[in-house]
Amino acid sequence: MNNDALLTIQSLRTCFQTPAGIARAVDGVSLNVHEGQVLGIVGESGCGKSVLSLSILRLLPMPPAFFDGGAIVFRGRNLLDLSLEELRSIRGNEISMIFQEPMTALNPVFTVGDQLAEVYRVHRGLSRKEAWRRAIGMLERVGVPAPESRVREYPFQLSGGMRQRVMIAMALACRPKLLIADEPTTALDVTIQAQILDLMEKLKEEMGTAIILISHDLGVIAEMAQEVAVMYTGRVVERADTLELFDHPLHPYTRGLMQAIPSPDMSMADGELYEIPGVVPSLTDLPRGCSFHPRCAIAGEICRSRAPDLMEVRPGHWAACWMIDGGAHA
Amino acid sequence: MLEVRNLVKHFPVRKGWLQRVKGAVHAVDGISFSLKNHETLGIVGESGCGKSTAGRTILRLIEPTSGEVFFRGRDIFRMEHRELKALRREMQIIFQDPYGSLNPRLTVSRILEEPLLTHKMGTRAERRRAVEEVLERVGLLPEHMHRFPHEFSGGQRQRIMIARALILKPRLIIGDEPVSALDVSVQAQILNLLGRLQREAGFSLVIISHDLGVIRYICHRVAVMYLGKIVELAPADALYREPLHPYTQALLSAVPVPDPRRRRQRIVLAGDVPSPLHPPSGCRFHPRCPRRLDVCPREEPPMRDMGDGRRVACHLHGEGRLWEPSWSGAA
Repeated sequence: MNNDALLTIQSLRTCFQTPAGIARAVDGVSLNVHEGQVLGIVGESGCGKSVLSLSILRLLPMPPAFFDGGAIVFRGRNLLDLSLEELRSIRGNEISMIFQEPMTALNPVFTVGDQLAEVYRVHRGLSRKEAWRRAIGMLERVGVPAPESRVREYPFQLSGGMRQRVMIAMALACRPKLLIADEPTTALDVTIQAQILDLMEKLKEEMGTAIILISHDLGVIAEMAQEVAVMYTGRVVERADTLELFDHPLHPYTRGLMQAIPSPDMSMADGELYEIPGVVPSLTDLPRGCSFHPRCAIAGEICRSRAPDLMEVRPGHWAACWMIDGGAHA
Repeated sequence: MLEVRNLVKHFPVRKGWLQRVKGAVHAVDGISFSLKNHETLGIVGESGCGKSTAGRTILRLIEPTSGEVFFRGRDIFRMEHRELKALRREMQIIFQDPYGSLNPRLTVSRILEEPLLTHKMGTRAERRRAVEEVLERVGLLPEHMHRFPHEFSGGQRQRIMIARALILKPRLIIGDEPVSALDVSVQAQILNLLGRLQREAGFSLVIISHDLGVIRYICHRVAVMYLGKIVELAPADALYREPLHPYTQALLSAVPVPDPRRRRQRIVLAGDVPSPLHPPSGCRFHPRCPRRLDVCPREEPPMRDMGDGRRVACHLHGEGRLWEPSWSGAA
């Protein structure tokens, strides 16, 4: 695949052993992340976007999770082949991650400063004093007011927005090449979300960090990402650069998602919202053929029997659907 | 049909050995609005603004600190328990979390029958017919009757919640974040269902939500709350087209729009929402307001009528007529 990619995911398959059988949470996903770019991954609950992100740093409990083939190549090394020791030197250093709920990701019994300084001491080998000084500097950088006093506070003393700023400070402390942000603003109010998105954008520009931004919110993706991958039941069903994807959504699932959102200038008088009928199927009991076909308005015979692969339908625009262009790809 | 006047709810904060009252959380601090038949009013605001407390206090699920709520001409807060119970038949609430609000040990038919039993309505056969009918109206199948809540998806559970609210044929339904826990594709199903049911059954709706898109779509009028106060109330079209209050403007501009070509002009507010334990002096929004005047920290702006059913509480709009809650519905 692409040589200039910072991170390349190749045919990754992450499965879970469950009482109901094997669930393929990530089922043959291939993606590239380029330096300094934001790749958006969008999909509804259960589409595998979080498992994909946890797979990159191998943060899943194994068992029940296991990899069933594929590779994750970061700067020439396959992360799946690394020892835990080697992986640890990458985690939080070259690749770091922020989560939706910063309260559960921060340690409640240590101060913000302790946790932030630890990053510098572990990965940079700085002295206690120097690490503490850097921690304060980093808090200031992410817009925490009065960082000299905040640094001594515990996570519970901070608001949700402040906690997420602290998480970002920790994640970016070592100037990672790649930041994985899993629903970073979902738990926040819109005005705080705006602050955090602005901050991420600013830090990305300053540090040249690439970001994998995982979100269920097409609005957040549209604002932040240069490239977008849409996931459904563990697979990427569509992939393109952001403008192309929003201008010409090809997959019926992507189109459905876009039409199902009430936009700020639409009211009920303009008609009903588009509904994608039914629900996301269970991963242990996926429909045959294309997993979207029972909910798809344009499914044909072939969709019920064979799963489509990603095809380059327009230059740089990939979609996994037999029915695009009136079924020309079937 | 519903008239809320100067509704106040303070939660006392007790401290120390004697548990003396040391202050109060000003959750709802004097809100007024009215609601007509068949109308949908949205209450929008960020976490901690008091919108959920407002919804619950209106139904007297929580006792108010002061204020009045008239439901079809009768003051809910002055009612005897028995009278209130009879009235509850006409007022229902749907919560955000359909997982926590359905008894996991009861079948769907029992869950739906429960409100009828509580109010001693109908014979056994009539109740059964009512359950079948309401299931169909919310888009569930007759065979779902004998299943338990855990056998359903989030969207279907929300349908059960709606069915439970509908079975008593209420005049007013309050939805507290009714679609917030749902995925986008399912959210659209539930919003369409609520709209359809309202057209058929003609109840009034109050939708409480933080999601400005959802509110815009489903509501005729919208009240914007900040720290226990309504700062602006207007018909949805007008509010979204031309928001008057700086907070409404910031809130609307902060919503990410799923259109990468739209130019971003976000008004990014500084800081967090202050604690409702010690709300700021004067206008509660002044510490974060990008258009603050000298008067704002000193004086609380009164609600002013800007015409066309729009009202706003902001010193920038001092030219409007002073607005007071009317007494029309009390008769």
